[in-house]
Amino acid sequence: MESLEVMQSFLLWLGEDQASGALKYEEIRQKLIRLFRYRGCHIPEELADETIDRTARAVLKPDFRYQGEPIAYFRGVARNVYFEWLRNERRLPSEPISETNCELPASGGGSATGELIHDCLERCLNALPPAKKSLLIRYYGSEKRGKIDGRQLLAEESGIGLNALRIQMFRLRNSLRSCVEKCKVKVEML
Amino acid sequence: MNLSPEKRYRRFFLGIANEEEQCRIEEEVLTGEVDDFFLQNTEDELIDDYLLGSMTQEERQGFSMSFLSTKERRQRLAFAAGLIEYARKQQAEELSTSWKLAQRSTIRAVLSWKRAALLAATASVLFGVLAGLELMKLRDQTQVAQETRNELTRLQATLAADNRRAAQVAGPSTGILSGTEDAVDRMPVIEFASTTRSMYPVVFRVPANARFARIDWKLSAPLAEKYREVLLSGSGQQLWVQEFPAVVLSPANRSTIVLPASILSPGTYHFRLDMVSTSGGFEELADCVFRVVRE
Repeated sequence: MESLEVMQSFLLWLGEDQASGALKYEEIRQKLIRLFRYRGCHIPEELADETIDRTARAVLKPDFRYQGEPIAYFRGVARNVYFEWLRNERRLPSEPISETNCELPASGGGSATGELIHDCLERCLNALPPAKKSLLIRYYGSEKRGKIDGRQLLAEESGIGLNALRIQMFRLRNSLRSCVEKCKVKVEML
Repeated sequence: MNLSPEKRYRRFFLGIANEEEQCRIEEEVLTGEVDDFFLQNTEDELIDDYLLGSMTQEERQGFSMSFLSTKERRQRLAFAAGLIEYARKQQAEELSTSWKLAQRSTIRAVLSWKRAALLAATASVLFGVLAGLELMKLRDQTQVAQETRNELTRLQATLAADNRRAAQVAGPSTGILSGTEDAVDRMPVIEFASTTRSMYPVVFRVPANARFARIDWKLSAPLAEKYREVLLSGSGQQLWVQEFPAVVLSPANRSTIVLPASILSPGTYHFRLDMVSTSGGFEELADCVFRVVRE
């Protein structure tokens, strides 16, 4: 934003006074970053700042007329920023995402990254309580066609609902992923 | 088209949601109506479906053209691919090991059926003796539990009266309460059953002037000797934790928690019930998501 005065006027539009406006500013910025991230943008912070700058410029124009919650106005601006970004992305030659790179290997894996993930997974899974390790393996070991049925069956065997099982798996998977990430960094540093 | 939240968000992530769906989701994300747990879990489910071949052609196209646009998602995909591959190998190894073991034990059983019959007879005698001893021990424990329960009921009535007095004099008071106190009954309340498990938040309306809010658990039956209730914010921060033995539950297996309404600002929360496991630690029994609306 260009000057301190502009910033102060903008904060007063957001809140009753500058302090509450500053809090609101940060809250809206975080929400915009979240929105752009879930939209699949790889520069969510930059797009959130662009949205805020454009909104501030519009708000401080003498002929600005808007009655309503600031967040609704931000949403409209964020939408334009997103579509502009998308158009630019499509114009630029992007690195193609090979589907085959992401498919499950038919057998054995073999790449250096694959082996690293495999070794780290083994370490991290072995650090889990055996019951949890076994649950994870059964959950993710279901066959392609039988994915839904296999997980439903597992939930029934565990005496819990499918949603509850998904919640458990979500937590386990997140902690496992963070363990694997740490392990990869350690191994790569050696 | 009235789709479930999960389906709407799947379409959004895959870049195939229509204008109306996109607007609704943008609004929900910006107003905080939907929490990160739900969003990230939906992303994980998409990744699994892609890897397990459970997607339509349109979804697969959206996945590679739109969803995989960030490095973070591609890393999550690589991790999930590794996990699924590892899990399949492990299962295959376990199956092959158990098959070999089964073969060996069948051969042994055929060769030494007489020895097996003798062992079975000895085991059944031993089992009978042990069961008798356990039954005697259980009778003693039941008697002690009954006495403890009577004493706790008396103490609880005293504690509830003290709490009511403390609330009138000093403001917020919390704790497990039983009975039908007037003040407790007038509070905004949300009730869960131990079997309630939902990823989609239940709305808990708390009036702006409320000083306290009540969370009730109704257990279908006592399953453990000890429980723990944990209140977590949408971002996973632990706001409240409370342990209690099963004997303090009301006769209807109900547990009531009274919280200061000030800690329940608008947003999403998880309320988790853990029970003490056989190993002595706690394991999750139920998990409910609810959204607080102040009005």
